[in-house]
Amino acid sequence: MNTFNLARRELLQSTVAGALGVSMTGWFARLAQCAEQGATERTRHKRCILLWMDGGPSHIDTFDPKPEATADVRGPFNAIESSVPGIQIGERFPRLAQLMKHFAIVRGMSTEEADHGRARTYLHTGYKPGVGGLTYPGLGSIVSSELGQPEFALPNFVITGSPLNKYDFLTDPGYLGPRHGALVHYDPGRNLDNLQPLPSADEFQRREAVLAGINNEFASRTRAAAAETHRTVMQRAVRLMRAEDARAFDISLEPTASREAYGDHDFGRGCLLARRLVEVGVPFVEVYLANWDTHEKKSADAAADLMPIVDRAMSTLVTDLAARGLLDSTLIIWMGEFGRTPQIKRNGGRDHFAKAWSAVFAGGGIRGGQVIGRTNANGSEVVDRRVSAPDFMATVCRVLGIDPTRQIHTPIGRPVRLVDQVASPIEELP
Amino acid sequence: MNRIAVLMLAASIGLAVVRDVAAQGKPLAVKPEAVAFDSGRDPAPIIAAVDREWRRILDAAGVPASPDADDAEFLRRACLDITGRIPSYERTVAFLASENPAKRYQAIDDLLASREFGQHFGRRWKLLIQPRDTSTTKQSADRFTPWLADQFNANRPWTEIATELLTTEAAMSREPQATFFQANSEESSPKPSLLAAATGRLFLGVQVACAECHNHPFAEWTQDDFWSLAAFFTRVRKRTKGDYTLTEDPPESSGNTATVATHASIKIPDGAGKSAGREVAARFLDGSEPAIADAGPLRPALAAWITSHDNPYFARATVNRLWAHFLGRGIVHPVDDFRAENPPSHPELLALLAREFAESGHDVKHLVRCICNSQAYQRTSRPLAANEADATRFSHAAVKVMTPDVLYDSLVVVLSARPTGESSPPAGKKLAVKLWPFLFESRDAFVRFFARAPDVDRGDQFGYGVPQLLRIMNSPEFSTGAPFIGRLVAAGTEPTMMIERLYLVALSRRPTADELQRMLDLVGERTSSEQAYADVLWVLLNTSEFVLNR
Repeated sequence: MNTFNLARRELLQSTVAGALGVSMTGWFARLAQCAEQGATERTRHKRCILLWMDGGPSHIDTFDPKPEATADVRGPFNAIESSVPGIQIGERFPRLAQLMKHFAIVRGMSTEEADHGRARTYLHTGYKPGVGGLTYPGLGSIVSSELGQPEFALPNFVITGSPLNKYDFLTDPGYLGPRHGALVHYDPGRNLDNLQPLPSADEFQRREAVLAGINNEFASRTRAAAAETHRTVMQRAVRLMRAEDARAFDISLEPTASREAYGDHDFGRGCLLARRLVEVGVPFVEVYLANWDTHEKKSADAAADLMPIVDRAMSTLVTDLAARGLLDSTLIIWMGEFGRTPQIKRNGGRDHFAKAWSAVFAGGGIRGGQVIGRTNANGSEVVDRRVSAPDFMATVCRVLGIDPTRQIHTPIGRPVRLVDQVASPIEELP
Repeated sequence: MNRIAVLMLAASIGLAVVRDVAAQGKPLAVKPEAVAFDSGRDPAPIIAAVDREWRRILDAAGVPASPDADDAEFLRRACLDITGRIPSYERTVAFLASENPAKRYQAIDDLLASREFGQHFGRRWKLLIQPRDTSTTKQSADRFTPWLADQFNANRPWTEIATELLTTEAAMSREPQATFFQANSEESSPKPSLLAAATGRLFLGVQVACAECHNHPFAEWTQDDFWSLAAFFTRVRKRTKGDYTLTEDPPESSGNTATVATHASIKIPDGAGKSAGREVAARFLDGSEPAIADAGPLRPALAAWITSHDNPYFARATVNRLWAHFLGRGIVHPVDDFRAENPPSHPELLALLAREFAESGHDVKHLVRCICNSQAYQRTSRPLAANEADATRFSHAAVKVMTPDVLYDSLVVVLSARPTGESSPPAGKKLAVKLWPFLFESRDAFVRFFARAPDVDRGDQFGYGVPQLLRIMNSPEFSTGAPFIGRLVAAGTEPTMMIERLYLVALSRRPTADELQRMLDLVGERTSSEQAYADVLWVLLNTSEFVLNR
């Protein structure tokens, strides 16, 4: 609260600049300077970009190819050699194959839940939905709470892209509370709307001060959770309006060549947005790419067209972050909520399959150029280094410098571990 | 600002009439009003019984109830809950001034008789039956909401509405009655498993869907229960030739008959766990067997069982959902999760309301009367120190969040408020003022932008994020004042009166002395400036109090 008030005084002193329109995106030059000083401190913590393949891609068609298997398991794609001897991936990912030294492929994911909704929650939170009567926070909310800075002007957790039909994004911060909810930005191709106040900065400041006072009183009078959340979101919105760094949301400020490199697709634009956001210190960005739910040939063919989009965007993201010196501090995760059945059905599709599937890691200081775990000849069983959902969560926490065994107290004082105690993180990764 | 000037001009010449109709969907008033069903039952003894049960549970726990809501708080809440929008300035002022001791009872009746009641309930039930498709921006005309609105306004017995939805032979994707089947289709064919899950959720209050693939560890429903409910939907299909109507007749063509179910059973499909491949016969959830002919329709038997007077699930599921709509929480919570391990907080209350609902011939308006006139509904939302922690006994009113539709309609009420108190201003003026908001934003686009996760139906959770609040704060639609302000300023209205008017328009109450002073400070020297009062309105529209139903 003190910092917020201090910021207010700063604002009052710089209203002249604001009123004259000196600053184009944030309105207060002086505040922007303060933000820049803060930026050096922010670089200390790691960030995470989660590339979420909604619907659950086939492990065999992507990062765990089975060239020796029969045609009904092998599927339509060949395996290709990567730049790391001995590691093969699906032929639809030639650019990623060349960057294999950065990647660790985890082929032993094995996670029990094969319903989209339940599996999405399980893989985002590390807890099965409904267990213990709690709503568990997802990875983005955990990172926001553990690594995010409370006074950071931008949201600590941003989601963009397109979720699968009939599901929306998973944004519930659960017991961590509304401060750690996601900013949902559906279209990465456009800037955030309505960041500029219509009246002068001075006038906005007067209005907003009155509003904040009234909202504070209402929240303490009704003591309702909804009022508290409204107040919190309102504070975040106002802070975002004042932040020079909010221009990170505007990917049109990026050179044409850079936008082209990521690809002319929402997922490419989402990856570019993610890079811009982590660059200014947003600790967690999730980019959704839907339509991996390939139950029959038509959707399987459509998913095959998603693969080059992923190949292009993800490879550009890795090289771009590396070129900016940010790859070592930014963990990239590629995954869906499960894999798909090894056996292709007569209709040309594959069903949900949670027993054995793959996730891919890059950056964040992990050791690249390796495959961890192994499935059997037809990809139906994990035969080496099985990774459960809690194992996965614990691994990600460790890489990001978060202690997975840490106990959090829920608002009603109940102690709960960030990651379930059954978890054992993958030792080979860091 | 140019855009606004242009749009204001458009408003003044009445360009927006078309937009108005488009935003509302099919105009509802073209149909002659059906005579509303009225069971004629006296709500008084039921209200008294509800109050007794509510009080008994509080007393048993030693939890005190908060005081009665004051008139302003009550009226705003009743208008939001019954008609889906805040009260107009005129309604608020008249209600606050009235000395009629029965004015709350009267207000509830008036609101139930208004067209907005059906619209609001139609919109809510439409989303329950057919959730919003967030995956596409292409929206086909919604004819289901107006159809439901007509049913609610005619107060058609809920059994009849349910029966029609379950047994309809209307044309898929064309006629509104077929929406339940449309919403539970795969590749535009009705899908038994989806229909079974939706039937359980909507009409029986049970989550049988968990048992689709496995026997749920916590629930009493077995996989057989689920699939024997699904078996009632094996014969229904869409006629592929011609009119796409729903039918249970066997197909005329003698071509591929292997795929046609002529039996009243269903095979548990591959991938549904250990029982996959087993054949399950149609059977009701309570275990009783339907009398079914070898051929012919199955759905009427299911609908007759669901809506029968003695069905143990139907009435209590409906009553519980309506209670949750008004009180912010079901007596069984979550509302669609009736099972032994999730007992009701007020079992006798639930039983008594369910019994009355069935006895009244499933008279929805009567049930709403019984709930809204109860003491539980009319508490203030302000908690006492001694009941603040209570979440299940309804000791103080729940603070609910406006849904996107309600927020839209309430913003319309504010921005189209009339400058004077007269009830029917001159026609030309009325048009320009009334249509102002539609110029900026159609309902569909607004609601899509504010839509929350479609599977979240928790009225007490604030689901809007930073982009939504930025929109209300900074977009010209909502941050440049409203036409009535300019006229009142031009008429030389005193600052104190201006501020009181703005409070009554936006928050449906008068300001406290402290609030009045703060707003006078905000207005400052600018006592005759339209912008100054636009600032005040901006503050009010962005308060938690505005977007919440307290």
